[in-house]
Amino acid sequence: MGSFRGQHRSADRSDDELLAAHVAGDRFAFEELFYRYHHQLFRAARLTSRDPQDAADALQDALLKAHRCAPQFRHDCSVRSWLYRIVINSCVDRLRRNKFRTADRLTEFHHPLGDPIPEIDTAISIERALLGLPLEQRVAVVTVDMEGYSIAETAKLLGIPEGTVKSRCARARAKLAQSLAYLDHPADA
Amino acid sequence: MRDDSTPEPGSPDTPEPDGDDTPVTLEQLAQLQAGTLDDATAAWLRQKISDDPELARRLAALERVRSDLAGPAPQAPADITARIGAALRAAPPPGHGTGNPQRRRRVAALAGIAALAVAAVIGTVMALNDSEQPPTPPGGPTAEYLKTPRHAGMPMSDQNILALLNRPPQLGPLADPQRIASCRQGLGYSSTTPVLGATTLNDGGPRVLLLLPATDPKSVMALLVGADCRATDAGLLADAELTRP
Repeated sequence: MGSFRGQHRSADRSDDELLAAHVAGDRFAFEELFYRYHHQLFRAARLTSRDPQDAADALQDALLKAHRCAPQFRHDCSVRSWLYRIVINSCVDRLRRNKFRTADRLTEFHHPLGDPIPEIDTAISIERALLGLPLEQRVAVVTVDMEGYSIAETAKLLGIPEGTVKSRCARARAKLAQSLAYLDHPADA
Repeated sequence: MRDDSTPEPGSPDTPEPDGDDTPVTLEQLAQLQAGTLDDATAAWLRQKISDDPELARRLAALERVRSDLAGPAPQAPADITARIGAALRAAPPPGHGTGNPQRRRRVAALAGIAALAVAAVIGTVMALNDSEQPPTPPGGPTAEYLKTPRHAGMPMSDQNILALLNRPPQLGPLADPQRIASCRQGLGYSSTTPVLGATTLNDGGPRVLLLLPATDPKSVMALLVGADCRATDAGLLADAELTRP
């Protein structure tokens, strides 16, 4: 993965340098940037999309938009944050447009998950629980707790007040603690 | 969706500090963890937690949520990564397409001149009906097709779609307020979301092209729907996100 020309230089260049190289005409710089964050970006897309196929399509749309609009990037945040914001916006827009199709399929996540099977991998359980959250709460808690952005950064990324970020995260964590049954099995922590 | 604002002191979510018998909810513990409580309520809650092992256990469960979420991202599927990588390699460099309007206009002008020269040589007058231009004209690309970027499935060029922002929406079969409100809901928007532009298309059946706000304020969503667009079935035919001029 990530086998492309110019890879040997990637460790030498910062995100900003890669983006500047892309704008200047380096054909492989943006792809390097993508491979630098593709795991995190796909996870974010997966958790804000209807299904893996939609996540892949939204992620591709978002990266092509970032690729195209790179000259307009104002460097008012990190390149990683800029990419993340474009991916989240792409997924949210797609979810909105497809809401009429997704209503039935998302319903399954709105029911309590019941007792988790201990053998289920933690990551899968967490993904299922996250998909049961309202979209706004899900985006906030994924951005803060999963991707590690600060409250201030998240507020800027999502275009909402910091208090709203905290409030959405609080509600999300409370619901996750319940749906993951952590309140029943604290000793497993 | 519930109101996302921070609860005001004294609201049902923030009990009076002097009520030792007031039950503590999980939501209040989460608010304490998130730092949304006022100082007095937070101090009262911390005291309750220090006195009650069950509350401490519930707070620990919330901490476990944060801890488990912070795990590393799993591997993205290799086929998806490869597909996106290929798409990026095939994409035109920045400055082409919608990314650089000034350069695009220059390219468009050159393309238009070249295409018009071809048209003069063969003595053909090309009808440039932009509103219903097929994506791939059978006789080869027209001048209009060459010089105006457009999205797949969209019956108009990006430029002409964005021009709809500058004139009153023509909603046609969706002009009834209840019908357009229902359609917006079907598309996943609030029934009160402003329609930024619209036009009606009749070739191939009645359709309406709507412009609605995108999540990114610098963009606008173009949504092509059938005339029977409604909350239960929007009948979305094509969509594209366009950068505002």
